[in-house]
Amino acid sequence: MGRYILKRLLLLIPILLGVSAIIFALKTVTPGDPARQILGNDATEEQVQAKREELGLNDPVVVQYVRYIAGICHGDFGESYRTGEPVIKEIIPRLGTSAKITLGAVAIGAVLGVLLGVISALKKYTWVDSLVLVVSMFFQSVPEFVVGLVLIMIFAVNLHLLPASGIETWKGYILPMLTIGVSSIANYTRITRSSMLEVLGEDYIRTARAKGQTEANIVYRHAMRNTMIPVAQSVGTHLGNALGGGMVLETVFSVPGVGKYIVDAITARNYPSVLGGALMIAIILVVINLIVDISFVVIDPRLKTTIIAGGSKKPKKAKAA
Amino acid sequence: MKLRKIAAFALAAAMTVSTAFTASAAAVGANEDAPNTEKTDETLTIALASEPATLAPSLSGTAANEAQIVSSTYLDTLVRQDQNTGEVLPGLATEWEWIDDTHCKFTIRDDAKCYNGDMLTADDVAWCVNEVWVALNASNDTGMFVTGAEADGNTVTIEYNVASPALLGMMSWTNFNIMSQADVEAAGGIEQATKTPFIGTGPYRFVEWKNTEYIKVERNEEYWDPDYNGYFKEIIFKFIGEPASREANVESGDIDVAADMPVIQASAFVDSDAVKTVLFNYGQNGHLWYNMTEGHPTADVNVRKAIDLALDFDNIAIVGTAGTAPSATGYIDEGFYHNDTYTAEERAVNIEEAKALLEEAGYGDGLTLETTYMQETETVHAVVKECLRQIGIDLVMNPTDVPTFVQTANSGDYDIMMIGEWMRDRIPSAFPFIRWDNIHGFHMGGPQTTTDELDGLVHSFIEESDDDAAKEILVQIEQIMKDDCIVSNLYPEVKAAIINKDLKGFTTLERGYVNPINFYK
Amino acid sequence: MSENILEIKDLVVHYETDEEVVEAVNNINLEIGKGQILGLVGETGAGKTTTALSIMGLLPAKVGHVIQGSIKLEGEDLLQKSPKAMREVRGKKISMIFQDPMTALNPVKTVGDQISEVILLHDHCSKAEALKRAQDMLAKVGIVPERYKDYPHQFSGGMKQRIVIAIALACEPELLIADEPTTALDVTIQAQILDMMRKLQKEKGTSMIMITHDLGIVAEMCDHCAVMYGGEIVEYGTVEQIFDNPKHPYTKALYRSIPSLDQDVERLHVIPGMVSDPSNLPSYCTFCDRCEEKKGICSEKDPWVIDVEPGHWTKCFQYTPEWEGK
Repeated sequence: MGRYILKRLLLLIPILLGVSAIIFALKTVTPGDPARQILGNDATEEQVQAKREELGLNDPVVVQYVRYIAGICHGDFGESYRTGEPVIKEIIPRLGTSAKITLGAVAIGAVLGVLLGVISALKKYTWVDSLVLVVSMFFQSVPEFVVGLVLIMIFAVNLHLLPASGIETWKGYILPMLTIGVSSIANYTRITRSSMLEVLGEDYIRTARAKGQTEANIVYRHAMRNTMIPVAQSVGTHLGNALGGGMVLETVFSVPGVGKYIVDAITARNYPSVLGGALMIAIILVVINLIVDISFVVIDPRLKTTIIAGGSKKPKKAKAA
Repeated sequence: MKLRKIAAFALAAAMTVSTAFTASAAAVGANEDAPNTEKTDETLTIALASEPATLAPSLSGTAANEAQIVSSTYLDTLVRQDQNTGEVLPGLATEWEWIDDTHCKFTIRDDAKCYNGDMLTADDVAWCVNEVWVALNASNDTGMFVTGAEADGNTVTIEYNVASPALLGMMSWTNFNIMSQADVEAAGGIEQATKTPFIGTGPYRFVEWKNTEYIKVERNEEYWDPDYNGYFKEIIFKFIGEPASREANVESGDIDVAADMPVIQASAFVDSDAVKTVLFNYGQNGHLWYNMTEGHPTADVNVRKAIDLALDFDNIAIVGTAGTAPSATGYIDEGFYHNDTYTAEERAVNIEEAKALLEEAGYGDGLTLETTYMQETETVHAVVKECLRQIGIDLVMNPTDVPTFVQTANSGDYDIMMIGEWMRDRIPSAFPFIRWDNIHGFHMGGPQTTTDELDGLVHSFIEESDDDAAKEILVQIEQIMKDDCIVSNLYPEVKAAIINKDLKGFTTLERGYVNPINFYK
Repeated sequence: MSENILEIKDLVVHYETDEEVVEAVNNINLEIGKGQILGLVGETGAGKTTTALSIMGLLPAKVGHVIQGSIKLEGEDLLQKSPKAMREVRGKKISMIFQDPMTALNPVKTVGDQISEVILLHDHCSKAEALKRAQDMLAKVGIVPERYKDYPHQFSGGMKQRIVIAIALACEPELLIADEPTTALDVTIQAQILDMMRKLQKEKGTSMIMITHDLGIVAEMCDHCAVMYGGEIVEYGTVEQIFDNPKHPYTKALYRSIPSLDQDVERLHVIPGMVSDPSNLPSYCTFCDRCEEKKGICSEKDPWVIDVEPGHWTKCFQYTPEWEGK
């Protein structure tokens, strides 16, 4: 197990090198000069040049890249052009905020989605099934951005129950969580429904019925855990998406998270912050995926051998042969 | 990507709404209400579009909108300016006098108390001009026109490097703020004071900047101006980037003022009972500049005139102002000067004539032009593109953000470019064309080239001490601009804000910035 | 009270979907004596499993319908029982072993849990006791009891089937339905499993329905044999009767398709044609189209049950007076 985790963590190195290389490449083709951004619109060309020199922006990109990577090896993610503070120091608290929202959102989405998915699987081809489908598809098709604004309209503007923005109190977290959460319900519902239907058609469910087990217990004790395998897989992806989707949502709700931080940094051509933020997210995604993979082992004992022994990474269905 | 699509959708939706009441403008304007007379313990919350990077812009050597708005609450200026009449009024200086074309002597009041409790002196003002304006801001407006200052008793004489009577009014701009050296040092030095500005003599005092969340200031109970009453005990600035959620926050009562709303979005709320929409002109006209340097088709006057004839100014104005203002008939629309350079007939679309002019210029088979613009003017550019398509011009549109836009404008890497010019006053840096430092090299858009005749006229226009004489010079400049079709007039730009329905006293600072300190209920 | 543990009368089962109606079981009559083993033989699609599922009350919901008939377990009609009462029958009075042991066990639960589950359901006892009994069951089917903590994927196919059998026999049912219990297993394992099943059956005197297409298994294990074709039982008798004196052309054809050790045969006998389409059964003899002995009458009407000797009947016109008459 320990070796497996270490191996997965070592994967971070090429991933981080790749992510930072891509951002460096984008930096060279993106118009807009960070130096001018810092100095303002009225700065003269000489001042801009001096600033570029100071920031090392005149060096070849490869040199800049190597310097950056060397910095990271010492735990130095650079300083924000905007504030001069170390990027890492700015990101950590924002990361906490984003993490809270993301986890909350995924929890909301997964719990509601799985619940609805189970209901629609058990009531397949009835009006209940159709209703669940329509409602969940509605939330998926309407962009999070719009869902967010609609929720603000309902809960903040009309009902005055929750704040429309900011996270000064715990109440501020609810709307962003709900927005990202409900948008993913359809995804979970679909996966749960089809997985549940598939599982309910499995022979071992018939075995359970032949034992005289009640339908409720069959669903709960026998089908649920098997159903959860693909659901857990999508939780991993959704965590990533939610963290990324947070970029838009954090702006709508004006939540000081890492997504908003990156968006602001991109607008300001604040490359150290963009890089730092992106690398942090990459690290988190790798770790999340690792945790998800490990959690599979808990759900599906068959995978213990495959995963930990270093076999294929995510066997979809290890029908033991 | 997703965001953009939705923005376009929202825009389209807002358009439908706005065109329904075209120009009915039930919205309130700025600088209309009577001043406040009452003090309360209430708190005012203002949402800005973004969080400033510094709270003392002149100490950071920058001049960014949000920083100006926030710092105007605790930093005073030498003079104030009536935003309706342009009249210059006393501020920290009780009186002033032009000694010659480039020296102005200000008498500093003796009852302005700094944050640290000391009384502001003329020496403090001179230090601020020399060590902050000039030393730290050579690259921007704040230091660009000032040579230095010298204190004598309770007076300070500021020396300017250009002769322009409008520089006096310019001293009311928030970036020309005044602070004492002792205050800055007590606040922890220049660097620290940009983060915790416990400085200034203003009507409010800085309390706290909670990074990413809010900035708080509180009423200065010992403010020197007995005529000023701050209704709100505290003002809190929040940062909400998304305009739609800024608006929603006002509706929900979480904030009182949503500053800097896109006009098209704000105009959708004109008829709303839940919020008050403020739409106001601020003396800035949108202009379409032609790059007149060699190698650009727009160097040919016939091409420029053809474009001018093809542009449907009325529709461009409807899109650009969300139907709140008609197209502009003069280069300068409001403020100290207005002249109807164009008649309605001259503004009318004439495709036939435009095509004939293009034919004459040798572009009968069509041509391709390029423009760079900022996202928020996307719809305006879409209309311009459609107008040009009718005469066989294909407009390549390059949307971009502010820094790239500025860079492109400066480098001249465009055929046509839309730039708004703030021309409420004759300050030496407003109109890209009529601009002192442009005489020796144009920058920030414009035709990128000039003539001796025009240079001479611009020179005398800026320096002329008599307003009426200056206006006569401007008439001549405008005639040349029109004859040579150097620029096409689009529309007077409009700014918008959404405020709490019970809130009164929406006033502005220079360039239409929202003034945080005059609100009341 | 009869000697029979199970009596099936006039059972008709249809699978109804939007597109078609499949007549899976067509008016069958069967009885199984206490402690006896009945072999149910036939090709895939003959209706063997449907018959078994009807007994269990496990026909696919919404699709499978019992159209008529009765299934009496010790005189009580299972078809009239409420779902709750049926749950008490399943696993307790009637158990079923399914065809594929690879998929019949829940992959995410330990085998101990899966065995004790059925014990807990029916013999209200403590969890610890149930687990103890589960371990005993494992021992009985020849698996080290300590392995109760293991998951199904840790066992081989044959061992999995042993576990399935352990589940089925845990509550000492009166009737055990084994649906092709060894089809999915290697031949050597098959014999072991069958031996074990017979041993356990003898021990408790359990009645049993052995569904198979393997006549060898029938010969080895069963007392009676019913041959199914096209949803009908076409021949019924004791194993001796059916083996020594097969009457129905289909039964005879089945024998001919068994490879013989005595003779060198170039090719195995193949029953010509396809199994009749159960969604489109003819109004005449269902086997007629493939029958090598058919006459005109066979494609005119449906044959009825004809007793050929005591306890041995078949459905074929050959044994009616009409046959010679034509």
